This record gives sequence, C-alpha cells and structure tokens, in this order.
Amino acid sequence: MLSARLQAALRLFDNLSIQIKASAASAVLLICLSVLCANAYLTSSHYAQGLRTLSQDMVPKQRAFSQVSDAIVATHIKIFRYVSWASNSVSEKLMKSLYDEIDSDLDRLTDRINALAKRPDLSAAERASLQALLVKWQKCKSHAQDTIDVGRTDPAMATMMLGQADDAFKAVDGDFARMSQAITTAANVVKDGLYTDAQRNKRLIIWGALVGFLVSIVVTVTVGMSIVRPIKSITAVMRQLSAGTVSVEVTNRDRGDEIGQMAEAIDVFRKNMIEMHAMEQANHQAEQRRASERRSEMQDLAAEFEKSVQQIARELTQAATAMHQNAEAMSRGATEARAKSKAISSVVTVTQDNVESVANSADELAHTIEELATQTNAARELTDETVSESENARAKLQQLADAVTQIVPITGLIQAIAQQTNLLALNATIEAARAGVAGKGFAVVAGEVKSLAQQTASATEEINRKIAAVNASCGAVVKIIQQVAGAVGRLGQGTAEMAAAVGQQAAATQEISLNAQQAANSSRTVAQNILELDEKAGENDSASTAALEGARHLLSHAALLQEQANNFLRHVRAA
Amino acid sequence: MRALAFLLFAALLTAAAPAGATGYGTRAEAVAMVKRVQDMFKKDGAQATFHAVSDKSTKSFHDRDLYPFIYNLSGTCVAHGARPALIGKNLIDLKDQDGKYLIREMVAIAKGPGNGWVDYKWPNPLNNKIEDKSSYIERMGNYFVGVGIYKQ
Repeated sequence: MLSARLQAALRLFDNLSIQIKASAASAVLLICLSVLCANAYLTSSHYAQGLRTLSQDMVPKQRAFSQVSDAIVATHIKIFRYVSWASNSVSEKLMKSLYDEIDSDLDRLTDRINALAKRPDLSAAERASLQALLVKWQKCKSHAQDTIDVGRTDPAMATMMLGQADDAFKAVDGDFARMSQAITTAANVVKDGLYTDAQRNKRLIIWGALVGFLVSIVVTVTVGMSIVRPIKSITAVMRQLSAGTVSVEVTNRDRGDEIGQMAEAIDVFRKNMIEMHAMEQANHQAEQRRASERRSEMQDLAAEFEKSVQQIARELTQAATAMHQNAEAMSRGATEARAKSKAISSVVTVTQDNVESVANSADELAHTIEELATQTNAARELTDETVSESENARAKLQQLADAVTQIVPITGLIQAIAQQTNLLALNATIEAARAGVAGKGFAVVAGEVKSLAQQTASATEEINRKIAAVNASCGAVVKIIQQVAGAVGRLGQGTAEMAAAVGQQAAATQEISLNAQQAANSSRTVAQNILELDEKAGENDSASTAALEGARHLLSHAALLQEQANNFLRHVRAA
Repeated sequence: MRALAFLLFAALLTAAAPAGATGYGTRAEAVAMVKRVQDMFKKDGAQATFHAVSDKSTKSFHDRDLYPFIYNLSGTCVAHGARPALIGKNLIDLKDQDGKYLIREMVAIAKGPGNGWVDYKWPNPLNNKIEDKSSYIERMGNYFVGVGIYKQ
C-alpha cells in the first residue's frame, strides 16, 4: 500500500520537467535556509527584547531596590551602634552626631522608599507591596526613632527596645527581600526563557540543517535516478539503433518530462529507420533481379560470340597448319640445295686456298727478295760510308798525335823554370838563416816556394809521361782503324756481289707470283659463283623459315585469340 | 530628717520582711502601690496621677525597686516611674529578651480580666541590669497601671 503510493509519487515526480527536478534540491535547501533565517531573525528580536527587559527594566529596578535595602540595613546597624555607644558612655558629642546622622538617614530613607514606590517601571504587585512596605517602614522608623530617643538618656531601656526595632527592620528587610526575590524570579524567568529559546533554536538549527541536508541528498539522488537511469536506457536504445538493431523497444515513452519527449522522438526515428530498411530491401531485390536478367543476356551473347570466335579460330588454325606444311616442304628443299652447294663450295674453297697460298708465298718471296736487295744496297752504302769515316778518324788521330808532340817542348820549359825556382828558394833559405830571427818568416816562405817548385817539376814529369801514353794509344787506335777499314772494304765488295744475285732471283719470283695470281683469280671466280648460289639457297631457306615462323606465329595468335576469347567469356559469364 | 528616719525605718522593715533582701519589694507591696495609683487617679484625675507617677520624688510611688507605669490601651506609655524616656513612646511591639510581647500581654489583661500578673524581663532601675520581673496590672479607665517586683 505504502510502496504503491510511493511509486505513484515517484511517477508524478518523473513527469515533472527536468528544469524543475534540477532545481528541487536547491529549492529544498533554500526553504530550509529561509526557515532557519526566519527563525534566527524572530528569535534574535526576541532575544534583544529579553535582554532589553533584563538590562533596562529588571537590573536597574533590582539595583534600586537593593540600594534602598542596603541603606536600611546600614541605618539599622547605626541604631545598634548608637545603643551600644549609649550603653558604654561614649562622649555626648559623638553620640549627638550619630543621632543626627540616624535621624537624617531615617528621613532620607522615607524619601527613597517613596521615590521607589513612584517608579514607573513597577508592576502592580510591586506597587502594592511597596505601599504595604511604606506602612511597615513608618512603624520601623518610629521604633528606630523611639529607640535612639530613649537611648539618649536610658541605654538599658534602649537595649530593651532594640528587639522591637529589629522586628520592624526585619519586616521591612523581609519585604525588600521578597520584592528582590520576585524581581530575581522574573529576571530568571526571562533568562530561563532566553536560555530555553537559545537551546530550542540550537536544536532547530541543527535539525533544520540536518533535515535540509538529508532531504536535499535524497532529492538529488532521486532526481539523479529519475534523469540518469532513463537517459542511460535511452542511450542504450540509441546505441542499438545506431548499430542497426531496429527491433529494440524504446522505453520511458509514457513519461511526462523531456526524457519522455526524447524517447518519443527516438521511437519516431526508429520507425523511420524500419521503413527505410524495408525500402532499401525492395530496391536491393529489384536491383538483383535486373542484374540476373542482364547476366543471362550476357550469357547468351557470350555463347554466340564463342561460337563465332571458335569458328574463326578453327579456320585460322587450318590455314596456318597448311601454310606451315608448305613452308616446311620449302625449307626442306632449300636445306638440301644448300647442303649440295656447300659441298661444291668447300672443294672450290680448298683449291682456291691452295692457289692463293702459292700466290701469297710467291708474293712474300718477292717481297723478301726486294727487301733483301734494299738491305743489301743499304749495307753497301753503309760500308762505303764506314770506310770514308774510318779514314777521317785516322786523319784526326794523326792531328791529335801531332798536337800532343808539340806539348813536349813546353813541359821542358816549365821544368827548367821549376829548377830555377827551387834554386832561388834554396838561396832564400840560406839568406833567411843568415838574417837570424828577423829572417825566420822569410825562411818559411822560401820553404813553401821550394816545395811548389818541386811539385811543378813532378807535375811536368807526369805530363810528359801522359803525352807519351797518349801517343802510344793514338798509334794503336790508328792501326785498329786501318784494320777495320780494310775489313769493311772487303765486306762492301761481297755485298755488291750478293745484290746482283738477289736481283736475278727477284725477277724469277715475280714471274711465279704472276702465274699464281692468275690461278687464284680464276678459282675465286668459281668460289664467287658458288657463294652466290649458296646465298640464293640461304635466301630461299630464310624465306621458308620466315614463312614457317609466320605460320607458327599465326598458330600461336590463333591460340591466343581462342584463349582471350575464353577469358572474355569467363568474365562475362562470371559478371 | 524625718524622711531619713522613715527611710531607715523602711529599710529595717524590709530587712525584717520575709522577702529578705534589701531594695526588692514584694508582690503585696506592688499590689498596694497599684491601689494607691488607682486611688489618686480617681481622686486627682489622670494628668496629676501621670505627673506624680513620673516624678521620682513622689515617695508613695517610688519605693526601692517598686514604681508604677501607666500605658493607654494601644500600648503608648503615658507615665513611667523609672524611665521617663519611654513616656510618649508606643511600646506595643516591645519584646523582652525571651521574645515576649509584654505590653501586648498587659493590654490583653487590661482589656480582658482587668487585672493580673505578667512575668517578663526588664532592667532594674537600681542597677540597670536586666532581671526577671513580675508585674501586677490593673485597668484604670482607658489606661492600665502596673507595678512589678524583680526576682532575685
């Protein structure tokens, strides 16, 4: 029952707009805050009033009461003191002043009590009490007056009378105490009221804050659940929709808030998707149907095409095969012709080679002979030249020997000078020795000169020896040259004879060569003819080979054509 | 001289009396003095009586510790044989050391039976010491008169 009611309340809450839901927690907090503020305002004014009552009414009144009461007590004590002084014979002067003091005190107290009774802040009860007190005070005053009057002359009696004065004073004091108590009680009532209010206020604030906090938490959580849970479920639905699952059911559509509207919109979207899906499927089927129709058309076309292509290829293959056979026959003929001409050609070639090698040998021989003649002539010229040159060398050597022989008298002169210089140096040495110490340096110079003269003499002797050696050498060389020149002259003679023989040989060789060349020319003509024949046969062979190749190409093309056509057809059929 | 002789005589008489001690009157003497005051009140009137009572030289009203006192019925002292300071003072609230409202009792006797004894404490005029006292009270017109004895 309760849970059903709660659910109904929750549904009602769900139907509120999100804006209201979002502000619900704040509203709760705001209400709590307002209540607390209002309470604080009201209670604080109440406090102020209470405190004002305490401070402006009760405390001053109490103070006034207690001041008067204190003054009465003080006067009472003075009366005691007076009687005590009287009993103990204190001086008349002191007694008099105390008497006057008490007398004026009593009058003043009357005035003060009257003033107290006229205070405007008194309650009716207090006023009545004060009126009663005034009566008591009059009695008290008269007793007091009596006591001190009697005390002036009769201390013993005054002591007696203190009792009644005491009673009167006690009565007045009691009244004051009662009134004070009443005021204190009233003040306490106010104070207790304030304290109670403060306590209640404290509790109220604590509970208000706590309740506000809890309620706002509950509201926040409820709002969160009321918004987040449906949004999550809608999000899941949307995710499924985006994945293409259109069969999903859109929840929360019965809600009265924005989420309900959103769910409604999403459901519309879902229905649209379903329709679109159906349309797409219809289109797809139509497309498939059209495609299959086209494919069957294509199949028919391909079959036809295949038939015609196969026809053509077959014919082509037959033609190519025929052509191939012809070409092969032709090629075979050509090959045979070539083989025969090649055999003739090889015989001719051998003959020609022989003839040519003879011609070539004759030619080489002629050349060699010619070269030999040339070299022989060159050798003869060289020999002639060598003979004349050796003659020249011999003449030059003769001139050298003459020139060397002319040096000999000059060396003799130098030798004579050297002997004389030696002699002079000897003399100079002797002279220097005679001069003693002063000629010592000169003796050294004379020594040097003497050694130079001796060296010169030995040098000239050496020169003479060398000249003699040169002369001897020159003579030997001249002799050798003469021998060489004689040998060369004899060689020149042989060479000339050989040159004449070579000339005869060259003429013979020339003749052989000419004959060989004629033979070579004729065999070359034969070979040329055979070559031409062979070339013809080769041409024939290459033509048949080309024809064969063409036929082979044609065949392969025909096969390729067939294959391409098959490929094309396969594609077409597969499409 | 005569007075002195009388005094001596009285002293001797007192010494011979059963009460014994000097300065203390007896109950009979107190009653007798009350009677004398009554007589004078009747004969000479209130004012003369009050005056005579308050005057210590009036021998018939002042005998050792015996003296009369007269209050009106509201407790105001009108004549006092020992303590003139009390004259004119209202002592209806007066209490003795034991707290007894002695004047009120006296007024009650005066208003009630008309005469009787009241026991209380009061300063002895001879030594000013507070002593036990017993007074005989009689109504006297609108007043009452009393004479008391001090108990030793």
